[in-house]
Order: sequence, then C-alpha cells, then structure tokens
Amino acid sequence: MNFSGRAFSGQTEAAVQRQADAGGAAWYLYGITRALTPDALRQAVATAQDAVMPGAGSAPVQAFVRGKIAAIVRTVSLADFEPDALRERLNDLTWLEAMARAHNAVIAAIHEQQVILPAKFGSVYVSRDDLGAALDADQQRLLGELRRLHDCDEWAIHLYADRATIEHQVADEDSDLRRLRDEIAEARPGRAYFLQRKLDGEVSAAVDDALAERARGVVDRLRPFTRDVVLQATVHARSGSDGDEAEILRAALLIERTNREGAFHAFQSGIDTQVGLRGECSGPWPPYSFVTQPEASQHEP
Amino acid sequence: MSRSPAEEQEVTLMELLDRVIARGVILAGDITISVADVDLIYLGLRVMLSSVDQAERSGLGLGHDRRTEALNE
Repeated sequence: MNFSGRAFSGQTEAAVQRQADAGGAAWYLYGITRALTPDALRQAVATAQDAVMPGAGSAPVQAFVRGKIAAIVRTVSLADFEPDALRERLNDLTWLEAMARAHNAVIAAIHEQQVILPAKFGSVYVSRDDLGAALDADQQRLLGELRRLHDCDEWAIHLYADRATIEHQVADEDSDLRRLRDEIAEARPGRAYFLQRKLDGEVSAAVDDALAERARGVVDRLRPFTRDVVLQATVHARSGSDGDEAEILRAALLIERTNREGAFHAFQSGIDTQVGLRGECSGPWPPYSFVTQPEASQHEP
Repeated sequence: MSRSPAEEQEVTLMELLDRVIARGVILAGDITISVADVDLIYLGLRVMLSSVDQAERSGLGLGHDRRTEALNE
C-alpha cells in the first residue's frame, strides 16, 4: 500500500519518508487535528518543535494530512517501543516523566493553535501506511470529535474538605444526633457505650452525606459553564495526607474558552459559600478526558 | 492550606500522568503494534508505580503514592 498523505514539517516528504523507513523507524502518534490550510498546519506544527522527546533525536514533529484530518507524528526508533525494551524503560521514572512531558508538550502546543484529539500515550505505528489506513477508517468519527471539542479546554478540579469542621457542623445542626448525644450523657455506662457506638456510626454517615452534598453543590454551580463533566473520583469517606483533610471530589471539566471566567467564578463562589472547603484547579489541558473511543476497537486485554 | 512548590509540582505531575497515560484517543481499526503497546505501557506503568509506592512505604521517600492511587482507581 502506498502512503498518499502529505507531510508538513519543513522537510521534503521524500526526506521524511527516507528518514522513517531507514533503520527501523516507527511513527509516534501525538494526536489528530483538522487539516485546515497548509500554512495553518505548518504554523501549528512549528510551535511544537521545542518539545524534546527521549529517543527521538532531532526528528521533527510533523503533520500527515489524510483527507480532512492530520495526524501529528514524529519518527522514533521502533527498538525503543518494542515490548522488551519498554518493560525495561518503564522502570526508569526519569525516562517516563520526560516522555510524558514531551507527549503533552507537543499536544498542548497544537491545542493552543487549533483543536486536537490527544492520542493515548505510546501509540506507535510501524509504517505510515498503517497509520494512514487507521486514519482513513476512522475519518468521519474523528471529524465529529474535532467538531465537538472545538474551542474547548479541559480543566481539572479537586475539592478538599476539613472533615473535623464538617463533623462539628453536622453534629450541631442535626437534631437526631443532638438528641442521641443528650441520651448518652444521661445513660448508664453500659448503655452509654452502645449509644456512643451508634452515634459514631451515624455521625460518620452524616458527614459522608454532607461532604457528597457539598461536592454536588460545587459541580451544580459549574454545570451552566461546562459542556461536559467527568467525575473521576468522589472520595468523601477517606482522610487525606494533610491531617483531617479529605479529598471529596476529583473531576475533569470541558469548558468553552468563552465560559472560562464564568466557570472560575462559579468554582470560587461554590467553595467560598461553604465552610471547611478548599479547591484546586489546573489547566487549560488538551481534552484528554473527553475523547470517546470507537465502539469496537481492537483493544487487547 | 498552601502547598510547597515541590508539592505543587507533584500534583501537576500526577495530573499529567493521569491524563497522558490513562486517557486519549485510540483509532478504530488499529492494526499495528499501537494498541497492544499502549496496553503494555499502561500495564507496565501500574507495576512500576506499585514498586515506587512500596519504596515510599519502606522509607526511600520517592513521594509518588498519590499518583499511584490516582492511576489505580
């Protein structure tokens, strides 16, 4: 099969092909973007050239155009991505971190210019024909994904709660808990012991409910400003490493750029209106958490 | 409660790995080594991070337990 796409990297296509096909080169896929004009693609790819990836040498980041989409790729040594070599390299946290940072740096640079679907880390194609065939097979779905994610950023949010503060609040506000506490104060030691255990269980459950309600309250404030929300974890029952502070929510938000300020304000006001809550956010990220997978991908277990 | 710059960087690295390693698009009809290798990478990463976590508990202080937690959920 002959590869019929076009390559934009500042090198001639023939030079790129020679480089890839010589010496066991493979194609590392960073993501899929729209093939707008050649100038727009060249400009987008040019911004990604500073991301140095271990093992890639001086190979440039390139865009392979296939119809209306373009794959952002770079040649790497296939030997670095063969299973045995990978198993060994994955023990090297420095290598892994450098790879992950380079992977993200390329995607983030393109993302600043135009919408991109981030590829899963480590997607390596042994030939451009294989990559071209995969792009052809998935073209319409990928175009739909690119339309859906246009002008959007991903933001990560974390919510933390001071469990002791919430517990005091709940214990003071809940009349059943107050009554039980009064009963314990007047009970004989044996009965007081069992009542105390009952109280502890009920307080714990009430605190969990209160934490979940607070997390829901913040997300509800954010929803008008988000196109999508992925709740990654709600861990209200567990104390965190910072004393009694528990992480009660971890979520990814897909936010249109025009709604960014509104979302920040909603997040901040959602935290400020609740005693004992603290929030963190990071972004803008490319939309890693919002790409959907094909229904029948050949995903080996 | 504020975080030290080192802690901030750790959170950011956790966020990065959580996204880069665990998510991202897979193309339909992949017929090359890509999908299998992604699985190998992800599986390998879990194993590697588990060993980092054990090192943390044994006092080597590598400080990646939160990342392990995030990736294993």
